[in-house]
Amino acid sequence: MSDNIIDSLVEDLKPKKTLLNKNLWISCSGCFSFISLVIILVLGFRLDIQLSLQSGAILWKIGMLSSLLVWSIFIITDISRPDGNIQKIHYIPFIIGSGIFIYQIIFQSLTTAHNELIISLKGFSGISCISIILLGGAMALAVMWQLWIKKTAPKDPYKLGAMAGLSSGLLVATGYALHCDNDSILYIGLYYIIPIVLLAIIGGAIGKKKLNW
Amino acid sequence: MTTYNNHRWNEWIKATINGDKSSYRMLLTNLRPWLMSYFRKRIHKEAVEDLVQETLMSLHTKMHTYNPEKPFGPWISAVARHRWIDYMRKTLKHIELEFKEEIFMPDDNREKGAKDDIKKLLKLIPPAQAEVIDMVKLQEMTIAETANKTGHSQSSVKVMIHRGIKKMAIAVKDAEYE
Repeated sequence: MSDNIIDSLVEDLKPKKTLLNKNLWISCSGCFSFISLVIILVLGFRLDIQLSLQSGAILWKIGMLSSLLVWSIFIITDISRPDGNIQKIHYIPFIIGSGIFIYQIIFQSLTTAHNELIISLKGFSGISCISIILLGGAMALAVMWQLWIKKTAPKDPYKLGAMAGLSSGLLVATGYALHCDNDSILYIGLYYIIPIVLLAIIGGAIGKKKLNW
Repeated sequence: MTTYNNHRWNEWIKATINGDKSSYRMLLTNLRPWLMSYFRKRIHKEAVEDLVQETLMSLHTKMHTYNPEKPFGPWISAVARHRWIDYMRKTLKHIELEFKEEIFMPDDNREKGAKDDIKKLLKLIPPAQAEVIDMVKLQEMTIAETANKTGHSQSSVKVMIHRGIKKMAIAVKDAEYE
C-alpha cells in the first residue's frame, strides 16, 4: 500500500516556493507603512509632535511598541515550522520593550500625581484607541494570515495564532502612537493592551481551528 | 535499512523542492523504513503503516516549510513526532469518551493496539491513577469491581480515571517540546 502512496505523491509533485522569513518581515513592514500612512493622513500626527520629540515621549512610546513588535515577529518565524524552536537571542527586543514599560511605570508613578494619571483615562479617546487598534489589527491579522501564517506547520497552532494576533495588534498600536498624544503609562497599559490581548486571544482561537495539520 | 541518512536526504529534498521527481521517489523510498522503525518503538504494530502514510502525506503537503539551509533529518523527525502526538491525543480522547459515555468498544485489533499504547503512557502518571485505569481499561473490570478491589468509592474511581487521562494528555503534549 505504501508503494501506491509513494507513486501518487511523486506524481503529484510540483516545484515548491519555500517559506522564507524575509517574506514575513516584508509583509509586516508593508502593512506597518500602509497603516501609518492612513493614520497620518486621516487623523494626523499628534498635535504636540515637537514637544513630544523634545521630551522623548514619542520616542520611548514608539520604541517600546516597536521592540515588542519585532520580538513578536521573531517568535512567529521561530515557531512556524515543525522543527521550530524559539531562539534565546530573539528575547532581546522583548527585554528592551518590557524594560521601557516597567521604567515608565516607575518613573511616572514617582513624578506624576495619581489624580493626573486617573484623569488621563477619562474622555472618549480611550474608546477610539481601542477601536482603531482592534479594527486595524484585525485587518493586519487577515493580511498576515493570507500572506504567511496559513502556509505554516507549527507544533503549537494556538501559540502561533496568538502570536500572529499579538503582532498585528502591536503593529497598529505602533502606527497609532504617531497620532496619539496621551503618554500616560496607565492609559497605554489599559487602552493599548486590551485590544492587543483581545487580538491575541482571537488569533489563538483561529489558529487552534485552522492551523492544524 | 533504517539508517538516519541525513546527507543523502539533504541532497534529495533540495532536488525535490525544485520539482525533481526521481529524487523525491528516492527520498520517500528511503524514508519509509526509517519511519517504520521510528513508529514501531512508539505505538502498536497495527497502527504503524497508517502513521507512516500520514507522515509521508504531511511531508508532501508541508514540504515548503522545510528550510533548505538546515539539515532535513530534524525536520522530518519533527513531522513524524507531530503525527505520533496527534495519534496519541486521538487515542486518549477515544478512551475518555468511552469512560464518559460508559460505552466500551468490542475487542478488536484497533482496540488491542490502543491498549498497548495506553500501557506505555501509564508509566507517566501517579501509580494510584495508573492502577485504576489499568483495571478498567486494560483488565476490563467494571467501575464497581475496581472500586471494591482498591477500596475507593465508585465516584473516586471515576475522578481518578478522568485525572489520569488528563495527565497522560499533558505528558503527550510535553513530549512535543522535548
